[in-house]
Amino acid sequence: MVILEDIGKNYDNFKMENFNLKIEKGEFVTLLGESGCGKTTLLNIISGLTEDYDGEVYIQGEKTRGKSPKDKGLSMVFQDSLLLPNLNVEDNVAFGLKMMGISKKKRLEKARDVLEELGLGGFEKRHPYDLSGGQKQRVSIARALVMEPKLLLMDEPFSALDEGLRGKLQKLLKKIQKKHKSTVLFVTHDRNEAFYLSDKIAILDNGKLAQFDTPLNLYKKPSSPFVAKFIGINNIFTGKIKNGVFYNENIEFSVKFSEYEKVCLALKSEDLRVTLDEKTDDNEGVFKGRVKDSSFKSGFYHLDIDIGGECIEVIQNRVEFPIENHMEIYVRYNKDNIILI
Amino acid sequence: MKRLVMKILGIIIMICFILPFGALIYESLNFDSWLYIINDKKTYDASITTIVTAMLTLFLNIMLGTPAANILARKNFKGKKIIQGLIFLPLIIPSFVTSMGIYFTFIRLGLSETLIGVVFIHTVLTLPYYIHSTTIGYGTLNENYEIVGKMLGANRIQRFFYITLPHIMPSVIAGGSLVIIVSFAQYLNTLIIGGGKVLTIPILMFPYISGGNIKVGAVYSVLYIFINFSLLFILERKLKRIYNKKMTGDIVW
Repeated sequence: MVILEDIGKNYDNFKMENFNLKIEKGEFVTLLGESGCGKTTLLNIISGLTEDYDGEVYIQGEKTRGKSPKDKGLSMVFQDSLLLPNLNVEDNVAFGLKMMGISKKKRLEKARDVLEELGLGGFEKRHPYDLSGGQKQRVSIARALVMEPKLLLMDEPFSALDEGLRGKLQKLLKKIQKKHKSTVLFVTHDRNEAFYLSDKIAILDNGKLAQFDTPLNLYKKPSSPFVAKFIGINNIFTGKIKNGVFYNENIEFSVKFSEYEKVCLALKSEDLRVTLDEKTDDNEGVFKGRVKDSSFKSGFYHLDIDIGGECIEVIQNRVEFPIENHMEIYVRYNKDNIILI
Repeated sequence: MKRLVMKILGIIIMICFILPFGALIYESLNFDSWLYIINDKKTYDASITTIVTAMLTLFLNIMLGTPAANILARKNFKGKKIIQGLIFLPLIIPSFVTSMGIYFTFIRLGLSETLIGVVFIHTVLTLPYYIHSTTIGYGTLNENYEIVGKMLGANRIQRFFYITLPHIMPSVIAGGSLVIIVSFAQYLNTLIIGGGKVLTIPILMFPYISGGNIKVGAVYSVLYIFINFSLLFILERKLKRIYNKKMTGDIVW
């Protein structure tokens, strides 16, 4: 188990205070957030690259302050593969074991096993300049895994790769992590990557932990408008609820909730549906609006609808009628899908 | 036009480099002169002193210049420009002025007319070349490689030998070669500090070249070139050996 207890760090234009996080053994946890939110700061504190910080980091019950990464039982994969250019693939993978004083025969045997597992059998004698970007990154993952770390730190390891390759490596990483039950702390700003890989995601907002939960719970129950926005819920309204009706200065619509003085509601774009009439089923509500903008991206229609001062985004894979800008349209929603933040 | 330029360049190269070298070889083709220097004990003493001086100078350059280059290339601190200027000062000031200045200090320290004194002055005069070359090597080293080394459990010395040195090796070889060449070529500074008691090949051959016996001078020049080239060759081979062996196993010297 890895525990971050009351971690604090100050820079000129950044402050982290009382940051707490608990990672269970064998768990894949992702730190997700925008640039400058503190992800790398946390990683540097855990790895020991930053030594001046408040609070404590515990790995399997032991304080890690002042210990070397090797003594902490850490391995790290970076954004760049950072393979030593003068060593071949197997020597690169076995480098950490060599530093531990493990015999050549044993360390190369281990290195070859891990390389095989990562689909790099036959590449042992190649040099980094002879590998593609994806192969290099697989070697760097092998170099970290061969150390059998208590905690594997990964700092945006796939961000420099193209999308197709990224997907393949994510799949491979997930398979290997599940097989070895490795404890992983992964850093990314890519939402989809975090949702695909993680058992739990910690969303960071300017040095603070905005929410720490499973991907499904984050999506179902975002704890704040920031989290909702960050995970891709774009329809967020602030207002009041009275007698089952939500209202603010621009819009009003019926909801299932009874009464709130100040409330935030979120509606996922993919839970909405555009129609030409205002008929609704039980449990449904409808907005009347005008099409502001429409586009077709990767198999989905993205529609921006102006519903009286507020703009609502609708994403759906099929629209049964031609869409034109400024046309009058209705947007149907299911009251059960409204998220109360 | 292009052909004409090439011809003119060819003639300039001939006049400046090939003809003097040819003349030197021609002058040295003299059995008596070779016999004279082979039978002269001073030849051996001077050769050994020249080699020892160059090697000790190289050693001091590596020991002092490598960490200096590391700091100059990768750290920013107050007064960095001034320190850079001071290191390169011996290249700007006429070298015998530097030597004269140091000479009086060396008298007080008892280092004048000693081999160590000569090694020190050679080091002062060659350090700018070595530091300049090695700084360029350090400048191209991504610091993240060292972080990777640290994460994989390599200590400071291991990180230097396994990660930093392979990267900066071409610059070290280039700088080290310059150190040997410049150290070999020192005449006046060796004479000032060594006071004629530290006999190197340039000190030995100068009287012959400046009118004594040009044929013996030519033979000493050929010997000088031979030793110089041999040292450069050995330096490159040795350093590359460390480089290669450090990559895969233990060093075999």
